[in-house]
Amino acid sequence: MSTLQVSVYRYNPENDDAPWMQDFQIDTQGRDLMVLNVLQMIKEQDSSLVYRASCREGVCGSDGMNMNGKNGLSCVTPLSEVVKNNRLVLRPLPGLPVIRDLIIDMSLFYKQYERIQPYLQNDERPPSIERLQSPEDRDKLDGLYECILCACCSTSCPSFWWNPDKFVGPAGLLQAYRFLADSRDTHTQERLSELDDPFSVFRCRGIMNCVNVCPKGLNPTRAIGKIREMLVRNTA
Amino acid sequence: MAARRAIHRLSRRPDLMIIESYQKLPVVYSCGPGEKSAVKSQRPLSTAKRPVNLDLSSIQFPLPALVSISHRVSGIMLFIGLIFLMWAFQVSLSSPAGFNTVREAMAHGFFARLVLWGLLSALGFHFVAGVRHLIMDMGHGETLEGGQRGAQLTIIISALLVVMAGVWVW
Amino acid sequence: MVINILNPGRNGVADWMIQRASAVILGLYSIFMVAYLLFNPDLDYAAWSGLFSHIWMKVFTLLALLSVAAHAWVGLWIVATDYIKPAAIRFGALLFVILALFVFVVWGVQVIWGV
Repeated sequence: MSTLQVSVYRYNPENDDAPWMQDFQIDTQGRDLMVLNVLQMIKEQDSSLVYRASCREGVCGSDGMNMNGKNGLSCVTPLSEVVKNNRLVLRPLPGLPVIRDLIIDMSLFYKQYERIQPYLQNDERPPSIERLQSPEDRDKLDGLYECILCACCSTSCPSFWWNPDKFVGPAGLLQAYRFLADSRDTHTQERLSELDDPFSVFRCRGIMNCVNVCPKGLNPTRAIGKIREMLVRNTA
Repeated sequence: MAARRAIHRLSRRPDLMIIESYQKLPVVYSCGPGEKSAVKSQRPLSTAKRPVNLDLSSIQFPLPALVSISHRVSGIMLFIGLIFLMWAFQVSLSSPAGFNTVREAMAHGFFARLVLWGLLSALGFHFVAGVRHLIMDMGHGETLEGGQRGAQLTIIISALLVVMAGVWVW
Repeated sequence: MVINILNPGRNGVADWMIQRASAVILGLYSIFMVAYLLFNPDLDYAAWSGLFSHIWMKVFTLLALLSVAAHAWVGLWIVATDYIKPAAIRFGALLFVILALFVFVVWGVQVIWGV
């Protein structure tokens, strides 16, 4: 039985007043395809379906979506990982406004990212060669710099759903810690003062959905814990 | 330097930051959710009326997430239960007769024992989940496996406490 | 930076500290009370009121009461700001919570220092 039942979230603001689910039968011929392949096959049946995708190898972060209830990248998620009872439900990432079909408005997500000042800030005179960093200090950036900003984590976080304009969210906070932990950055105090309010960092309840869904295997919960530790040491 | 200042200024623009309109404005349905509307609406493509996918029944919640929401629910239950606890506290200390009233209720009253068991269970769960939070604050159990194991332990220990509380009360 | 007026502490760290500290105090108090009641199944009025006649017990109970108020306030403020978006209703709910907690504290003090 290689016919997969796929149910896709559809919404076109020009035609529809409300989102609806469209069902497709897809013949996978027994192959363990990626969800992105299935979407391409669906597009052959109904070309009005739109979704974001680019690198098709899990490095650009464009094709994040909710597959059978769990966020992930469609290009590196094989059917064997998500399909249950021969059924696949594709929905856009939760919590952010839907522009059309599986495409969401990432503005709030990017705003929170900009807010934490995701660039190195060093007031010292730039050296004639690159700023040096010991291997131990460089190791502290592992697990932080690899983020591809796919938004799977933040859109799986209930605290982000309820307060996307106030809580920075797992992705933003992971990057905030990436710069707090960078030995070449000298603006640690300013970064911490920016984050020291009840909303930006402290809405994290340790739900850990973010760790569960990150396609790159990163751990925002641990990074947020480290930011909290820095804030407490700073203040108390 | 100018580019950096520009980004800095952008992130401080309150008008761009506040997207509360997404949450305040209702999404208007001319047909039921799930039904495709046959009539092309004349309304403009306003960004403020974009729908949001928050159908919680369609989203998978792993065990740590369920433990977290239960922690919140048990906390609210305890807040409401404070009324009963304060009543019992006052009456039991007011006089020997008062003390006996409370004792009788706890020993034989059905409603009283139900409330007591509910509160003890909520307290047990909230306490164990709270201890888990404190352990995570100290940096343990923040990995994927650690979080899963912590959630499982919380459930097992709480279930034991609920049963023990049940035995004690009933 | 997100500015608020109803949060208990001056900043995020203060709220978090208050919640953790009050949690530890309440945890200890709960363990004490449950253990006391478990190991005194044939408790009578004399022993019960005797327990609360000690000054350390009065202080401990008062500490627990204040901790409940602080812990519940921080927790319920977070819940309200998560789920109640219309500002007026949220203010109303939080006002109710703070009044309820105030009543509990005063009620408790009155019981401990028994009039």
